[in-house]
Amino acid sequence: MSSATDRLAIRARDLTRSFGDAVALDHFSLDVWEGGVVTILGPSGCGKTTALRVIAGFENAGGSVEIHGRTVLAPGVFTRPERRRVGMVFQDYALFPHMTVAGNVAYGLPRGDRGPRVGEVLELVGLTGLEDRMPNELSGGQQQRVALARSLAPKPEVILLDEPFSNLDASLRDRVRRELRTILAEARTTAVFVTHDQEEALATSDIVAVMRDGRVLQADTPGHLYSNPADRWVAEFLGDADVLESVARDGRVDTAVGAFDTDLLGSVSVVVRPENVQISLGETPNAVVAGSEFFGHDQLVTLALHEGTRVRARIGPRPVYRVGQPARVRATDARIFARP
Amino acid sequence: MTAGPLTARQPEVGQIRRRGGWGWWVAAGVALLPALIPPVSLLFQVIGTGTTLAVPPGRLAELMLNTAMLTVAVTITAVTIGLATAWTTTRVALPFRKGWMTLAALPLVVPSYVAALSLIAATGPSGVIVESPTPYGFVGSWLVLSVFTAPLAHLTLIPGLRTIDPATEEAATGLGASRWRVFATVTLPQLKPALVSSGLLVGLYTLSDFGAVSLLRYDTFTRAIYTLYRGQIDRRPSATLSLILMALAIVILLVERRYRARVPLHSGRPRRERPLLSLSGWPRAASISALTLYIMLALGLPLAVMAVSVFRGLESEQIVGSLGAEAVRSLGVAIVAALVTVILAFPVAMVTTRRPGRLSGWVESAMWGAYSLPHITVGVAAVGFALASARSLYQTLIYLVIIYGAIFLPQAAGATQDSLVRASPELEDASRGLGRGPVATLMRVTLPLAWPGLVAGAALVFLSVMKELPATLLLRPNGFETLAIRIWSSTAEGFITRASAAGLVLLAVSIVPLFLVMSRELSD
Repeated sequence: MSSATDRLAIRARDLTRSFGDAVALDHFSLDVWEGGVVTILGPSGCGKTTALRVIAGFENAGGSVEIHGRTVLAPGVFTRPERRRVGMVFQDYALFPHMTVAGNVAYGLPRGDRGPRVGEVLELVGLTGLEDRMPNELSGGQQQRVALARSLAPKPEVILLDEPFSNLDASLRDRVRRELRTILAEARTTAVFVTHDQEEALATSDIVAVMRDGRVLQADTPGHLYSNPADRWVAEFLGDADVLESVARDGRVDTAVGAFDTDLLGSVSVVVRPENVQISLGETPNAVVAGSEFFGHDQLVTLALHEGTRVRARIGPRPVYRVGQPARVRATDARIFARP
Repeated sequence: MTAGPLTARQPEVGQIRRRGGWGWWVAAGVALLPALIPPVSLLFQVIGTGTTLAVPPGRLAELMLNTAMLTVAVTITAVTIGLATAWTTTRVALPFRKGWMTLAALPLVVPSYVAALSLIAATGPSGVIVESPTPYGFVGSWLVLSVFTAPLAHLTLIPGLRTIDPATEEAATGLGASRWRVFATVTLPQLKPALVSSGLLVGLYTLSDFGAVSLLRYDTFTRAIYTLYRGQIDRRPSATLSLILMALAIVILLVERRYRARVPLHSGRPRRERPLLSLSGWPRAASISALTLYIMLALGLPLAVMAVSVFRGLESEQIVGSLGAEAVRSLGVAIVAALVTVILAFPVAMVTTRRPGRLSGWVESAMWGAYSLPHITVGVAAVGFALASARSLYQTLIYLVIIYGAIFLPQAAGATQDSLVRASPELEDASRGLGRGPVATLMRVTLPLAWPGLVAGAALVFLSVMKELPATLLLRPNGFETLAIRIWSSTAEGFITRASAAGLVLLAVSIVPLFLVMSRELSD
């Protein structure tokens, strides 16, 4: 992914910050390579927005931050946000309500340079012709693009985006997400997203950093993260997962859905994902169908194993199972984690 | 004087229309009747007896100019001071920040004639601080009114500042703007509605002021109205000026109405708590010093100067006079007026909260209209009305209390409205459903719910009546001196010690109801 010739756009080390008794950041560390798109993913309250604000300079914290090799935060060093050359798109867009679209976009530009650059960047986001509109006359999607254009206009080295899609209608989200990705690639800007939506994180990023309680638990490519989560919590957070408890001995662990190799010994959690669970009717049943959700292109069937645990299987649109039907369930892959 | 048409809260949108019940409407109508008398009466007084202008045009122009100059100057300085205090106490991390916020609003409590007294006592001949010709006239009036109306702007700008999305200022900072640029290009423009509201509020107050300009001898409309009233048997000149002044006040009110209707309300999405600005070194010292200086000037100075005057006077054995009797009279009439007003306000508040609609909107407008008219014009109108149609009422306490009720009705009604709005009308339905008739429901459900608002309203009215001067001057029975009148007339005659003593008593008596009112206002 990175090589010795690539530069680090952002280097955050051991950021620590509390608000009163609440710990927001607990030795948060992250590396972002130039040109990359990194998403910080975590549940509400995990500190991800605070991390972003510390990088931008709107909050202070212990630890250090370097942007393109320049130290902007360190013990005794604090560069003010207006000097960091970091663009930021806020969750609510924060458009200046009393200025036109052109006024908003031109805000960060030096006096002489304005006209052509504004036109350029509006074209980039697909809003040519809306220069004289006021923010309250625009739709949500348009407002978001103005916010993006405003941050991109001064050609920042890095752009930070705080949950940029959470205020859009679900139907708009996918489309805007894809367009945004294209725009960022064309502008060749390093971007750091923050979100709680794991689908969005996995779909748009080069690297996803999973965050919990103020620290990064795992940072990896989406594919790697999904199939090799660092622990049970990350596994469950990133996608659908069901857990069976069992005991590992002699290099193997047996469960109702199958046996798997493992190096661990003793009590373990076995985590399976629905896409790796299969249902068959011809063999000795070990479960009963408890319910199913139909999505058109696939379905998610819930089965209650005889031993008590519930497990889900993601299968094609056919066959359709009835509630109460006995079936045999097996998993073709699993991740094993030690139980504390 | 803290609530007003420009800061009144509207009843909740979406309240269900209630059915039937004309009793409340009748009661509300009766309550509002006194409020509608002044404009109508004045019109009759002026137009009734001939068409020649009772005031020479040259004089009229002079008064217009003086009044306009003072109003504009005070508006500019008061709003600037108010902006500074509001901004510093909402945005900057200071020790006891909330305390400063309350203190900066307190000068409202000092009546303008007491402020003028302090200035005269401090700087006039035999002045406490400096012996010099007092800045009478424009300078003195401008100074006094700016310092003591700044809290009106302060109280209006605080919610204005809080409504601004902090993210817009952060976005500007992120785009490279310096602190000053953010303030000028992002904060101020978004503050425009609040700035305009404060300006109109201060302007209206300055236009209506009588106490300060009369003592500091600056010829505005209010001073001229009183001089003409006292000096001439023919009441047409004072009535003419009153009508013009009233018209000016109405214009300001209408402009404010229009303006408020056009500004869109902000969506109340919960926002991130804004971090306070941390200053250090000289900006911090300067902020704290500036705030302290203002509070000292507005609160400390009057108190100190009056206290010193009293001590000096006692030393030279100047008689303090019949202070006790005046205090009792002030208290008595204020309590009675507060009770009467609250009783009148209750049906009005019931109508506006339980039967919202266009008609109740008119009721509110009429009420606030009467409140906003300059008191001296109301006084002149009321005198004319009594002499023309109800002679026996002229110069009676009953009439005075009725006029107080007419003027201060919205203070009581507004506070009662707040309490009633928080109590759902379903509670009254529930009581009826359980078998209690309308009177029982009123006594056991509605009144207890409205009680906190009624008490707060009574406190507000009490304070306002204690401080009131021009209407009292014109309508009181002969020989009925209140504390306000004592302060004013003693100052005008140069008896500073007597005036100061009365001033201290007035401020002392106002403290308890003041606390009640201020804590409610600023707790939102």
